[in-house]
Amino acid sequence: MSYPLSSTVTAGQPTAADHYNNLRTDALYLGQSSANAVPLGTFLQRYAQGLKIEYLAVNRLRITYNSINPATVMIKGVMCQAAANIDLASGMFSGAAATWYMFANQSAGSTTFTLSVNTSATETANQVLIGQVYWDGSNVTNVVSYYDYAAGLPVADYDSGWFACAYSNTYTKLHGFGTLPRNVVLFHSTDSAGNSECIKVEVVSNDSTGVSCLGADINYVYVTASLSPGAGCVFSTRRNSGSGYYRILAWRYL
Amino acid sequence: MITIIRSANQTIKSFCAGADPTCDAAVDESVEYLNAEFTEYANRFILSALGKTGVTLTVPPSADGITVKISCPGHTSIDLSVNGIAQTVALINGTGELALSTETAGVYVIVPADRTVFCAAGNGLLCVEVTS
Repeated sequence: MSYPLSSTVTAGQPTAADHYNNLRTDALYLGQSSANAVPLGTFLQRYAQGLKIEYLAVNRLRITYNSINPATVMIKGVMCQAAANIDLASGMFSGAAATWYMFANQSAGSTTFTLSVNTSATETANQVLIGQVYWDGSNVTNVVSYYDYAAGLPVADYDSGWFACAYSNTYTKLHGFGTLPRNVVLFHSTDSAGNSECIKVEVVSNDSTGVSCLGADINYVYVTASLSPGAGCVFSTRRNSGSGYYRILAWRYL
Repeated sequence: MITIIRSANQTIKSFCAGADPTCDAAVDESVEYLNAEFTEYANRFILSALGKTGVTLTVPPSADGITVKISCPGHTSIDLSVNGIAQTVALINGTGELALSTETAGVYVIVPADRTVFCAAGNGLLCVEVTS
């Protein structure tokens, strides 16, 4: 079917039923048959863009306002758009370690939206689910935005921070995704702040032979530094070391 | 706050910033939390040589030897383990030096003797390889 179906009505021309129905078909189905297309409102019912949820100290969350790509979300048929930073109120997380879900909330009289969190992923009448975090009982970690499709590699979903390492040790770190990570990267630094050249660790030395040292399952990342004092933590053309600092970055599957 | 991970024998295996409860309980590792800054804790004990730390140093055989520098603020001496042999180094203003011979090929691994107090990881372990 052609689009648009509707046509201009000239002055004095009687408006026929076809005029109205074609206009309605254009509005609802972009000129297509209802047998072949869902209504536009249904198509856009979970539309969202620019919903990049970030950590905000302490144990809060923020969607930073971006005038080029403002956070935009359809909430139960209502088009909402941020006009400024949107922050989660403080003191929203409590109790034992658990995954918490984030919602965008629409309210009457407002064109923007608010944030809320709950341990249940079930949406209520004026909400749409937009992400999740992990609450370890003290800290918010692993902030995941379901609708953040920003250009470039997104911020890692898990970041161990720098931790001291030495040869002949296995380090176990909880990423807590519940699924295998999409990607895991291990870096080595000679200083605790990561100010030196950071080496991407691919292998460690096992009697001068490079062997892989990195593994992961649905909950943990594992790094096993080999027995070599000289190159048990990093074995590369850039640097060898049996000590220093590691940092693990991991990205999840959604 | 920092997290200290201890091995079953109570030696400090690693440390990191923040509260990270993850450790390998299957091998009796444990964690403890300390109200300290990560960098401050990392700087409690640093071994370096030739101006470098956290990296394996490879040097050719020489009669000159190599000087390992120790930084351990607040202490007047420190007990080190050099390839398992105890060495005590006097410290002035928290710093001292240890001279190692580089006349023959081999590997030096220098760590703190008391690994329940100081961490033999990060910048607390230095490896010097004297090439043949």
